[in-house]
Amino acid sequence: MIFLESVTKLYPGEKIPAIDNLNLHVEAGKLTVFLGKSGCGKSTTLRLINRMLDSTSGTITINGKNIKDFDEDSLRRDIGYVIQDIGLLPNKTVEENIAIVPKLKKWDKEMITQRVRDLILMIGLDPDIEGKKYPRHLSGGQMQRVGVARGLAGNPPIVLMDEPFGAVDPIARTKLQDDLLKIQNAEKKTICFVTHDIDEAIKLGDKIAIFNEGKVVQCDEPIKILMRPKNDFVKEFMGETRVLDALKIIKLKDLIEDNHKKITDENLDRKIELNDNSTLYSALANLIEKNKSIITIVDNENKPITEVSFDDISKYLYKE
Amino acid sequence: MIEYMSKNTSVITKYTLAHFSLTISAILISLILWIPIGVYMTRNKKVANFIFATSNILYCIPSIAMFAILITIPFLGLGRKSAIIALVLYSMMPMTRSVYTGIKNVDKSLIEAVKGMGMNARNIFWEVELPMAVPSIFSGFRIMTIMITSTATLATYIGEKNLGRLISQGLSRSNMEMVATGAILVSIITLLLDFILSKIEDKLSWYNTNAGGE
Ligand SMILES: Nc1ncnc2c1ncn2[C@@H]1O[C@H](COP(=O)(O)OP(=O)(O)OP(=O)(O)O)[C@@H](O)[C@H]1O
Ligand SMILES: [Mg+2]
Repeated sequence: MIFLESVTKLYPGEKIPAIDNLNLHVEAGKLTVFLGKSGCGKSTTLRLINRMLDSTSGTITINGKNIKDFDEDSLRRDIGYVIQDIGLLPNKTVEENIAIVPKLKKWDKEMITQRVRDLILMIGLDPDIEGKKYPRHLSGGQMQRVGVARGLAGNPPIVLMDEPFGAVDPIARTKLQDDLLKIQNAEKKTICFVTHDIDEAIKLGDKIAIFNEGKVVQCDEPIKILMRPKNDFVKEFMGETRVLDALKIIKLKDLIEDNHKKITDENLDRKIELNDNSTLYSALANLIEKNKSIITIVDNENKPITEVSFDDISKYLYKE
Repeated sequence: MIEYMSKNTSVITKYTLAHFSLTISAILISLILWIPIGVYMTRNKKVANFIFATSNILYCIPSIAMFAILITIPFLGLGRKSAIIALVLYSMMPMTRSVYTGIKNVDKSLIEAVKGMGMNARNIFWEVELPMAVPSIFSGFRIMTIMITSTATLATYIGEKNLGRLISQGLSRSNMEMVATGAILVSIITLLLDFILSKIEDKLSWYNTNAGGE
């Protein structure tokens, strides 16, 4: 979908390139997180994709077409852009802010009104209340939501988000992340999402691209980044508890599907109930809590299904 | 003074209207001239520096001297043309400056956001920069209006028959009632305008915490 090939960006007057021979493939319909320390070139890469900046060398293609062959403004109308500062226009209401791109794309009035309403509902606000408000009457979290809605408004196949939830408190942030995942499940956009928060990256990313010094060091599924870091940089960057983070994203039911075992002991004292959200993390927590090396998994009627041992967990981890 | 006013209603009305017509002409010309130039200054640094320097110099010339210089220019001479030009030149400083700062003070992240959404330079100007600069431009407009209304009084010395004439003639005839009538009328008009314009200015700046006058 989006290909960056040997892309280099040297800012005028600088000696060291901000982006240095970077290669990256952003897959269609997936959320790719750009993760890395401050100054490693995440924002610059985003801005190269929507041509807010022009690369010094290298090529960027979208669906096989070089972005330099697009008209700059219409390219940007088809790429949603959400920045950390949000940039809501203070002289326009929430509705009007969200309608900016549809208007630029010259949709007809009814279609715009409908799309704006749908989006306001989707971000959990009321079109007749918050929709009519000016941005200064919104809370920080609500502004971020409106920023996201505005980025999606023109129905762009691609959305670039630069630390969109950076400025809100942790609770609002969790809620925003959950909502983004819901929206993404429904809309299946190709999203590039910049963050320097590892937890956020693991939670949101279908893929994570690890940036360092203007390069992408590794781009893989979160579990692979955690369990098979390509080099010491990635390993250290993901932190010494990265294995535990990996446990948090593997579903217990995936492991169970993979290794069905007979139940050897029906002592229900060390059971764990299986639901869709159980992870290996909770299984491990139970093992530790009960101080055992095997645990019985039961369904919601308390009927034993299978057993999971400490060994099963660690084997499954490295199987990926 | 009341007596003087009731006896000379028609003259006073005539002078007041003349005062307004001069003031309004000067304001309109200033707006048409200085707003586009102020905008252009935000696009071109050299032009901006030149206009800033020129307008500051012009603003520092005392009014009487300004009128005197203008009437010596053959095609202008005594009368309305010189008066209008003098007032328009004085307006250059407050107007160009308020337009320039209004646009320059627009939050960079706003421009970044809307450019990233695919607005072209024209969209950005009409939908973001100009609306955001309105409070600042309006405060320049207010300063200009007050300045023109009061300075127009002095144009009486180059032939304008306006409220200033009540003061100048009153002085030469030692008619204090006439002087007071002129002075009070000009002051009331100026204060009233200032009051009204400041109310509007307050309303305009509600949405805009970044821009606004200096
Ligand atoms: N306009 C600019 N002119 C010169 N250098 C710049 C400019 N913008 C960014 N840089 C430099 O380019 C490098 C990459 O910057 P970039 O903003 O892409 O980093 P980032 O990964 O987004 O960091 P952060 O997490 O802090 O936002 C940095 O070293 C930065 O100083
Ligand atoms: Mg950045």
